[in-house]
Amino acid sequence: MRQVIIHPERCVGCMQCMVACAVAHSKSKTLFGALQEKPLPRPRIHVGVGLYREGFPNRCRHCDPAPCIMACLPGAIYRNEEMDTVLINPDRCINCASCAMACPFGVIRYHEDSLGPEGKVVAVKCDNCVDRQAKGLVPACVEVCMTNALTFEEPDTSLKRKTDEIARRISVGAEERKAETAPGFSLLNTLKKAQTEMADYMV
Amino acid sequence: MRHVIIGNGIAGITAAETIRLLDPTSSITLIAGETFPPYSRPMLGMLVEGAIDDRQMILKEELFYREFQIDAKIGHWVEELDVPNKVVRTSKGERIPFDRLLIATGANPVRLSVEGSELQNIFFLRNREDAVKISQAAKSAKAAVVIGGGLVGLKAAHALRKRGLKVTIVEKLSYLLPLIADGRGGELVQREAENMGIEVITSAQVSGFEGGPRISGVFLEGATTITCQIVVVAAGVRPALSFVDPNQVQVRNGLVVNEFLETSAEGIYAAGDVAEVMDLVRGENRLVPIWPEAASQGRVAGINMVGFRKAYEGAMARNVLRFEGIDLLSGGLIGPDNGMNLRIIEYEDRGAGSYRRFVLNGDRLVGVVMVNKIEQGGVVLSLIKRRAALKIPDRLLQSPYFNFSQLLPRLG
Repeated sequence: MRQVIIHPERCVGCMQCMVACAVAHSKSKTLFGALQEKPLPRPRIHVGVGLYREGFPNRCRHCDPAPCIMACLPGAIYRNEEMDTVLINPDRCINCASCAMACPFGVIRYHEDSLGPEGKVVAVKCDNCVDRQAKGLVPACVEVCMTNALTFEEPDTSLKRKTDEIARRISVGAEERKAETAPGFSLLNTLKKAQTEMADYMV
Repeated sequence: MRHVIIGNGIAGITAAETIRLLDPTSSITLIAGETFPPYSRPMLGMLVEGAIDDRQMILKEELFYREFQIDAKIGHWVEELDVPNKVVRTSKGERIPFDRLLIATGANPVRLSVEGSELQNIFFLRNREDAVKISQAAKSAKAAVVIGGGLVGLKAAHALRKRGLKVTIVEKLSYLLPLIADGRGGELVQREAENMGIEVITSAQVSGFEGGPRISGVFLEGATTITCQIVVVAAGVRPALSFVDPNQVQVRNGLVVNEFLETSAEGIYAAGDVAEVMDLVRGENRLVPIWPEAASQGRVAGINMVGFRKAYEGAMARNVLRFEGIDLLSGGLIGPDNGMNLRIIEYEDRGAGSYRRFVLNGDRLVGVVMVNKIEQGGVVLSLIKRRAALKIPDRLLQSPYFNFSQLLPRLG
């Protein structure tokens, strides 16, 4: 089954995925509509700042077995086997934050959700855009990602590409190597690193 | 193979489910004292408050037993465990033989041995029946005293205050939540409790109860009396082991188990609040009576009972409490601890209302307390659990922008 795969080395931290995610989980499904809604739709993917100010799109890994399912006190978190997705039933959720203790990636947030029960604070996280997928669409974060830091594909395909990349790197001369990642990414990341180190040095 | 499980708490039902998934043919007998379907014990506070009805606590409907082909002995309490003959005897006189036994009987609340403790309207908050009784009594009561400022005490106090009662918490130590928070964390929770109108008395001992036949007041040492119509005793729990002969199975504070959760008696396993398991942070066997560990122990015990060998990775004490407007998450060693040379980093952001305390042993994180902004708590707890060396500067942990990506190998 196709899954959202993150390639952190390509993330430039533009946060378009967060906007797209919030819109995809709004009532209106349009940016302008979403901005008028109450509660304001919020993203389920979070671009975190790395050690060198690089971006990292952090989202639910839909682990199997999932520690949050094991930890959920009211039994609100469950796995949708068909979609290979971990989902939260907002009606059962009691906002106890037991899943906050369980998630090693820190991807769960707690707030009133535009698609959940009115006025109730619940645990909210990535749902793999199951509604969009049912309509044949790819997850919103992937659709909007300009740098291919988020891809929607078979994990095997993605793994094979990475393996091939490494194989080519060690088996032919470096000058013959076709760059898999545009040089701009390494330049950007190198610059960010240098800036961060300089800033640290000034302090 | 005849599997027998004592207890239908989270450890017992998780084990039963695991055994059935791995072994479709063996017989499973589950002995359950409580007659209500398996429910989520941590939700009892909400039941007292009236925020939920009891059906909402149910984790497995009655159908569960039939669906998983579990022979459920409901309303039976185990009175005797005969280890050499591999038989348990229940309160209804049944003798149930086993090949593999799981003891998942949980724990019982600690009783106070002071004068007047037999009076009416003195309650515990441990099971559904307790919660129902407290709710009933709360209807006609004006004031309540909660003895013990731990997690259960705070939940009880919160629920009763929400119902409009005047509530006083009496805590033996100098701050609230002494087992799961440090002094500052306890203080912040106390302030929140006081903001919602709960009176908190710390460093105080209960010396007796007055009244008859119902309670009418609590005596504190130092001659203070608090008038009340309800008392909730939340002074901790002890493993429920009355049926176990310590000459037949090794017992310390609880049932001592090895890494496969087997007790000293072959074929007899223990999981949940009753078991003394390896504590990952302290590196020694002790009671870690928390719900999520009971669930994972139930699973591991079930796997081993079926005949696969699966080691339990060890327990890490951790808790989270949402108390009115404040959230507190903690885990591992809160410190200070005499045995280890610990380094403690504290950071408070009064503007944002958040507080963090990290406890380090060398370059390893061993404990944490977080007040508010607890979303990244799981990341910190997994660092403690994996006992990995902390490679990032301390200041990053303290930052509100701390996130998972900062733990990834550095780029470039």
